[in-house]
Amino acid sequence: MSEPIKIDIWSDIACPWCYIGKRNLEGGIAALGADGPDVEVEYHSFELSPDTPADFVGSTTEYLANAKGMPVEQVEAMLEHVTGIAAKAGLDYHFDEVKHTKTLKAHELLHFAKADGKQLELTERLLKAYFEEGGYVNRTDDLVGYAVEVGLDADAARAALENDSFAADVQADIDQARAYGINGVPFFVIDGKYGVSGAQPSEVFTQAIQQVAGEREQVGA
Amino acid sequence: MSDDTATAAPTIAAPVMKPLLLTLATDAAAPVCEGDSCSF
Repeated sequence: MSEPIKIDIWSDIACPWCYIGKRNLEGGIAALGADGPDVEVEYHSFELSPDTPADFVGSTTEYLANAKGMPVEQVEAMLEHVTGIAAKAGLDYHFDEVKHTKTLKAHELLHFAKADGKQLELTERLLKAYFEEGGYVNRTDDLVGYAVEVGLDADAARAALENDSFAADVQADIDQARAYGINGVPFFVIDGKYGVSGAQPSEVFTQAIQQVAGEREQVGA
Repeated sequence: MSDDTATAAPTIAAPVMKPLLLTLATDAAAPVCEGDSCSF
């Protein structure tokens, strides 16, 4: 049996296109069918806005309006547009409730989860908390709560966050992204050689995976 | 006495990052976020 096709994804929790891209990828994988190639997905950290204050209090609308000097109405119109596209992907975004914040600790927790085989579950949980539930993805107590929800140990999760146990792993992901030349997310690397930038439609992922599978068959023939 | 260590060539650690060898699967643009900016 051949090795699964690996898909490495650079993504941030505070990235609306990352959640949409995640859904599109999942749709693309599902379209391969039961007889399709095996696929293994691994997420990697990308902190879009490291200068965001950890204690920022406010919505995404307020943050963007302040950071970009754009009229609130214009920001709201942009976010409404994304909300509509998210809805088509089956996601229920509520930007008016989003707690805009620094995502470094969330990434550390995702690495903690990866070490315990729960990274995919926690990625989904944190994205849902951030975009659909107005959850805090930077506060230790809240993060520990999400960790427990996906089956992780509360004390171990808290210790990992308080001791910055996975800070180096987060930085390694960011360094690898830089080495690949990745400036924006989501960014998908398929089998270590094909890059897919952005929240592409599901069909693009299906085709890229099929292409890799076909190349493997040719090599193995 | 001069400080020879000040001018010694630095030791460069072997790169551990994978090089840029990616081929884009599609040239079609798709929305991304870069920094504070997302394609909206």
